[in-house]
Amino acid sequence: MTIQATAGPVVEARDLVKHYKTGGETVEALRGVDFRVDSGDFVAIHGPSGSGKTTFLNMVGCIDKPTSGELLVYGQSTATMSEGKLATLRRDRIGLVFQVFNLIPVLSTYENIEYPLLLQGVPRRQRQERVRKLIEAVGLEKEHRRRPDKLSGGQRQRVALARALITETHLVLADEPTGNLDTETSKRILGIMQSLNENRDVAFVVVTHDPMVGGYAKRTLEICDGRLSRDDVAMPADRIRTEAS
Amino acid sequence: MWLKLALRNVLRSPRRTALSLAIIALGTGMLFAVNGFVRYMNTGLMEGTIEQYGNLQIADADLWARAEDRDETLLDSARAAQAAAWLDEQPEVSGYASQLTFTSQIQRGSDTSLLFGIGVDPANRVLEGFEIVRGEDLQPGESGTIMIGRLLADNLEIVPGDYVTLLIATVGGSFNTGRLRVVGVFRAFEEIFESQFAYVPLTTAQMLLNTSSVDKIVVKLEEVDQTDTVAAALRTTLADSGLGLELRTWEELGTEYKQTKAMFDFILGAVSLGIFVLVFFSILEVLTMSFMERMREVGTIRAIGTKRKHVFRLFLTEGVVLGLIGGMIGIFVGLGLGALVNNSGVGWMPPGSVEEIPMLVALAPIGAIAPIVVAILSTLVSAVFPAMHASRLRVVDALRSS
Repeated sequence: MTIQATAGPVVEARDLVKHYKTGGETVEALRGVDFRVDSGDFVAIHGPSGSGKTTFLNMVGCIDKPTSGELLVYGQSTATMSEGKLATLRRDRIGLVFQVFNLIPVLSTYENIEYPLLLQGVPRRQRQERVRKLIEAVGLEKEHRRRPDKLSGGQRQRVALARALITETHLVLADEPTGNLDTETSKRILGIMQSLNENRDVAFVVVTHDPMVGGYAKRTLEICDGRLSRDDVAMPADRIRTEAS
Repeated sequence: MWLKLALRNVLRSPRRTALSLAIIALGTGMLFAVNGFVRYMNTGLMEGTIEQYGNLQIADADLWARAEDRDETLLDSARAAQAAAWLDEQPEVSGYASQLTFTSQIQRGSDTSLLFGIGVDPANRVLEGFEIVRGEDLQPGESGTIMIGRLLADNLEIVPGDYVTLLIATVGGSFNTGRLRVVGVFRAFEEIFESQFAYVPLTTAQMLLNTSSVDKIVVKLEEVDQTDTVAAALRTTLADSGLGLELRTWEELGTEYKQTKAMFDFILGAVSLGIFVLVFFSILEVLTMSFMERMREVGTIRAIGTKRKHVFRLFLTEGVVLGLIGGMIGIFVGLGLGALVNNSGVGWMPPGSVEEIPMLVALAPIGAIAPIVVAILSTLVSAVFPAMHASRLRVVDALRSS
């Protein structure tokens, strides 16, 4: 299934609030966040630990539900969606990348990337074609049969990125994607992301502590104490350019 | 996809998988061996019962109702001939023969004993529920002869060639005696048969009882599993005839068979349940540990769009894969155990039997079905709890777990 870029915002959050209880105390993780991501955006979200960055990303990724507020993903309100519909939305329209890669250890590089297509029921030939192209795009041709434990950190993150993109989604959410990578590998991953952002209109929302990510982003947001405290648009001349892009 | 993933998940922790498979295989193997022993015993009991009673018996309804008047329970030649005609029409019937049974006292010198006599036609012997150990069988055309059980012969110190006296009441109620020559001594499976039963020619029985009738027709079929079909057909014919005839199958006649089979089936059921519980708890622990270790992984596959029902199915499939592999290994373990028992020469004394018989295990492939089903069912049920937990996890909580 090919996902077409939408005319409107990819993500729109209105007055998003999230409270949760821990150790008998109520934590106000998000205190009314308004936010919008358009097709082709590259957003870096910064903020101190515990500021609500990951909670916010979980909301946008539909893996956690807000206490109040409205979240629209591709124009669809997620508030009343059943767990099954949310799973379908995540499967078809949202790509997720995690700090610790979160690959399925018993599957090879090829199979990890193929997995979302199997969930979608894509025919075998189409799967092979799409996985092969993406493996080439992230430069893992020689590693396609290896399982995650035989890959380096950078290779694993490229597999995770390919898995997030295989459904041809226009929204990829990444939580500290360079958190476990060295500088050179981080640059390579960010370069691939930038290339996909610019050439394929994929919107990236990246939660990070890594100041280098901001150099690749078109917008930089800061969350502090559960509130959006800054939303800067980067000038094209200020952005890092890579060979890949 | 789910099967491949399940298989790889099962194999990802070799030591744990080996332990699980060992538990399942041992349980399945034991169940296969016990099942084989019970099947061997039940088959032996069934064959013994059919040799004793035939597949079917046809008699006057009052015979089994134990009517006081013996005369009314007998089949005269007209009713016996009609029953024979119906039996001739049944292609499944391999043979049938009339019998006349009686109760008497056997006397040799001053020693007497209770005797259940069976009058049979030596020329048309459809049942072979005994083995001659001394002397010879009853001969066609001979009269005034008797063949007795081994324990009875030993108790009364009778050997072939001796004469014994039978004290008997005729069908009319008169007292009668008969002096018969012992031609043979037989052994049988059951103690009561060896100690209290005797065979005489049908003509001798009729002479002793002062009747020309018989009391039942014993029927042998080509195959045991034809019994119910033939019985149903004949019952309809008998009921329609209005001749007061009734039919009973070997299962209805062999009460000992039913009791003993019920006992063996109970033992098999108890062993199956025990093994089910053993495998259930062992595999529950293994799968729960596996689930705890894979919470983040469950969170990941849920986060990228795997539905709850698929996670549930994945864990259940892992349970079934474990059960299937363990069960199949278990059959080989069971074959080994069975071969060990069969070659050990160990014997045992079944209740009511005369002598020890070898302990044997039937190792037919059909006996593998129930143990494998138990193995798969127990692992499947074990997997339900972790599968439910895994599928109900909140994605965000699962991703946070370490």
